[in-house]
Amino acid sequence: MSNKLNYSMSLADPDAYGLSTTQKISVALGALGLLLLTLALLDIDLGNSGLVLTLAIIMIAVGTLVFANATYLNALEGIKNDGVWFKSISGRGLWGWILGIVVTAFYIILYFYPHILGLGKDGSTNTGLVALFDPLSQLLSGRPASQWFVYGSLYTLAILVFGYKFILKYRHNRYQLVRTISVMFFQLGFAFLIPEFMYVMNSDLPYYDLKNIWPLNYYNFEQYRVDSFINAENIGMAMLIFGVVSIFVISPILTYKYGKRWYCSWVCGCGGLAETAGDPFRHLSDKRLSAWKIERWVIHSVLVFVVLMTTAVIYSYLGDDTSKYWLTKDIFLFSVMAFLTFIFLLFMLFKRKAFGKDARYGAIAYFVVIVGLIIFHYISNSNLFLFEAETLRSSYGFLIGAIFSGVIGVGFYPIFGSRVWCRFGCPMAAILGFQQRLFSKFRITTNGGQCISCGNCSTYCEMGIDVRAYAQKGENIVRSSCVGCGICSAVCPRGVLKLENDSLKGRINSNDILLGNDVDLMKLVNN
Amino acid sequence: MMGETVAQTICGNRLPYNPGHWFNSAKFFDIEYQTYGWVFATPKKGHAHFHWKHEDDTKCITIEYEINSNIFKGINTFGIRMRHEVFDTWLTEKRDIDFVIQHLKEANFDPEFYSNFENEIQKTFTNKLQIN
Repeated sequence: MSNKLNYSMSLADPDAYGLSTTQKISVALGALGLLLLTLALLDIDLGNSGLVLTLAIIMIAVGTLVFANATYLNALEGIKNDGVWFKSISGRGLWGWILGIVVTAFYIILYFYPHILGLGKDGSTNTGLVALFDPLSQLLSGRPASQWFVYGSLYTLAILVFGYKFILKYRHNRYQLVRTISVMFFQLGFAFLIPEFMYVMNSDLPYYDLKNIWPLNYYNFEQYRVDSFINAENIGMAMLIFGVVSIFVISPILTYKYGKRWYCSWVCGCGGLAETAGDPFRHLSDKRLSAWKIERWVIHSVLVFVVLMTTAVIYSYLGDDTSKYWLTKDIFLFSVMAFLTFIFLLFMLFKRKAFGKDARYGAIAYFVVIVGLIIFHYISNSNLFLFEAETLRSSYGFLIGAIFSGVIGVGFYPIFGSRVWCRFGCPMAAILGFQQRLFSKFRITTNGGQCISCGNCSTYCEMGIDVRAYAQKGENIVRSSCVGCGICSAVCPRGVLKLENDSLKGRINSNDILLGNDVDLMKLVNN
Repeated sequence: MMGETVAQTICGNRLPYNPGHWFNSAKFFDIEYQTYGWVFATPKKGHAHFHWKHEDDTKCITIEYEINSNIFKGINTFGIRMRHEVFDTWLTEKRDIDFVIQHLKEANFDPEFYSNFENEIQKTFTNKLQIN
């Protein structure tokens, strides 16, 4: 608190966003922790790597936790987003750009030049940053670290410490509390610890984060994985079956009951990082109508791409070994085609009216192209979907798996907001969203005519949904992209929005009149 | 609301402003406030108040009702979100205060996982009746 008299009451007052002494000290502590990691990256030997790593993690964690305490615990409960557009880091200022560039560079190095991080070439011992994480990896699974272990550890650390910060910021709101604890639990347990322990129990099993469902986990059904699942017998088969069941049975049921939020903002790791570390950047998402239009095309195209790619990859290895696969190439391809036709007809017959014009055209065009390609494959004996399965696989891995989800998805947090990948790219989100829009009990309810059009809901929607446009008309919000984070409801100054699961009937109510205006609607229409 | 009326009128379709039951909502120092119908600082003649306050002083409700007929006139809430549509219907239907207290759960608009206070409110209401 500034003691000087007649301090500025302007919203743009620079004095208001200074740091307290505690905050400055905690920033220094966290920065020193990062410095230790940087020194390791530069391959400067600091001695006992276990000790240095522990120290670095503790300094980063304590720095963030103390900073969060100093920011939120001195103030009353309740959201204070004061100055988010003025702060350099969250307002696309210098710090925002620096952070964006550093994280982007980290992702490029991670995906394409892991030896810079110190990954030992061809099984030789690790150096640098990867070597720093060796003791932790040895402790958990008894093998040296890889670049992915380094990444996973830092990712989990980020979700945990920023999850703590998120919990403090939204501590008046039980929904946010429960949701964030869930996200932290799934990241620490399912994504980080369980796969390591599974490796200890059975080193033949491939790395499998059980909550990472195909198509987000686009490599789940590749030959090397399916082979090792089958080779691991009971436990492996169980995991393989779980992988299929989770997308075809479990997720439709949960999405029907709760909307896609059960996954996107309660379980998923990408969502977890976006909700916790990405929280200060949520207002940067693009709210323009054009962004929504682009989003619809891009995300569904990625879904088509991943379906084609996976079909081609599975097709390419089926029939190689009849003792292993009871499924033959022809049966597989036929069932894929039958399934796609079934889904296509189902929605075209019963839900056609719920589609926008572009969605109808897109669905028909993509369906014709896929079926056409499969028929063409049978007639001309060329490659399925024209390209080699391996070409499709590697280009998907490069374009979508690495560039889109990692480099752009996370690296550009401070520029495009925290959910770029989830909104524009994630094929899993596309499937869940499709279902959420057409067949789910979930909606965000508007409380009568209470909306004052302040726009907080739209501003803090990380998916770029113009929530206000619905709220001011008294409409329910039923959008395929909504991940149900509940922030719109939390920031609303008049308690207008509520996330609800209720019956399907009357869920989309764009024709109702706004409460608080008793006009005779029929008379109005007839006029 | 008034915007719709103004728009219709400007466009040549003169429409009287007919704003339904009174409602309002706001946020004071992080505590949300809502009102439906009419609740006055001191009850109007022939009216009385029922008041409930949570022990941590962050939540309370005040209901104004007619003493003779028990008809529900309005509600003020602090820290609890209520559903506009439900109170609008109840006011139109001229429900009595017993009905409103018994069905308060239907009118709750708080986010998921929030604690509910309807039982506590009902208990306070019953106790108060016994004292009277």
